[in-house]
Amino acid sequence: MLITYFPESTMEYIEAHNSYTFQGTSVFEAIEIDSSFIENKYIDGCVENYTCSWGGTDHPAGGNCTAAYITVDWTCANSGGGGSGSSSSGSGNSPSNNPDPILTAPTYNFPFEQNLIDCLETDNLAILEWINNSANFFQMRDASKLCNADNHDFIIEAIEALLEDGELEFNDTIYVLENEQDYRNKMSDDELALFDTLSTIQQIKYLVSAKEAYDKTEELFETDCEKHNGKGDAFRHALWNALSSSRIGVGLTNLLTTRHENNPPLYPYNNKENQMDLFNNQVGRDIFANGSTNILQDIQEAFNNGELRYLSNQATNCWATFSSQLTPTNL
Amino acid sequence: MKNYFLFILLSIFLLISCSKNEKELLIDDFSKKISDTLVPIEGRAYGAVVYEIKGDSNDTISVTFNGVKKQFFGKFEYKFRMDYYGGMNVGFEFDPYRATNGKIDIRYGIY
Repeated sequence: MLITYFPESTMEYIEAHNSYTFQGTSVFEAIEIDSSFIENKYIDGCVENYTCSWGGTDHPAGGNCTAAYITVDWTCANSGGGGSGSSSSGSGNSPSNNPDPILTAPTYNFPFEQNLIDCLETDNLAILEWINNSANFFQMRDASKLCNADNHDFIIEAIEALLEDGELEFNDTIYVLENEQDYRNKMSDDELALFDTLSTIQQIKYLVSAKEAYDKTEELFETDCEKHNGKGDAFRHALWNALSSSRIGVGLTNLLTTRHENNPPLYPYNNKENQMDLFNNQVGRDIFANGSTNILQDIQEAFNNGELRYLSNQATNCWATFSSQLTPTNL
Repeated sequence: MKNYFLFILLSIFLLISCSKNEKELLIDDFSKKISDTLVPIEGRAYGAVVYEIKGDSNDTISVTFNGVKKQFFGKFEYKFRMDYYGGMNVGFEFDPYRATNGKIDIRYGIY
């Protein structure tokens, strides 16, 4: 858990309590770390740290430090949250004896908001309000860290997209804006011609859907031939179309993703790839159109039930072959 | 000092070129083949292999990209785009074949 404090007054050190005064708010952010190596972690949220004073200076206790030199420090998290606390130290000072355990020491709050405002050089009130809205803190902080003279136009576009659609993830939005040319390179000429007629927010939603489907496929499938013409490819196309349908509509998604397949065949059985992609695109759109409320789960279910199709008998480079057939994904 | 700056500029250019996995060739020497391999960023599958070729040649040339061979002659402009999700290296080869002169601009990459 990462805790960010927003002090509303100057903090003062209280020597007797070895702590700080704190008035303001704090935001808790779950962070994923591998904590399996932390052996001194307890289920009540407390962590014990062993310090050794042998040799005259305090240092982390190693295996050779004897009991006479060891000091145990406990750090405990309040289950109810909040931003206050104190530290305690001393041999055997257990968490249950500590009525006011520390969370973390309040730290200086980096001026992310002001940095972002300075970087964007904008007087757009809606954007300024978004920056100063604490509900947007994490996205604002990411924007502040990313912002520089080269990308501040992208950041402004991303914030405008978020203002229009609160469901979009800031980092995904920035990613597709920064890599838009790569996405354009992936499109067929017909698809690109239609894409260029869309509003910026529609373009972002279409590309973010593609990115999310890609990221999930990367997470779930490993081999090249799963990702190209294999089960991963089937999954990605269905998820892409379902997500895009939920954001820009089934009709527009159908037009764009069908045009995506408009390419002259580049090798003898290339058309089998197109058949497979079109099939899975349709399944994805149908899943949304049939009222899906959990797209990812429903796509996974369709995948497990064999409602999607992949190509069997791929060549070593994953291309379709003479004997490739559309095969249900549960086989 | 001048060479030092040139070296830095060249390094930056190569760095940008490599990280983009996109390259551009301006060919006016038709005496030899040009071969290259695009290596994907580790752990990141690409979604399309693309090249764009524009120029002219006095006879047939051939370009092979990701195993697909195409031939061109005279004045030409063509875009090759292939959906290809994966992490395999992508081979590129320009072969002057029968041509002895001309001028060609090729941009190729994986995205």
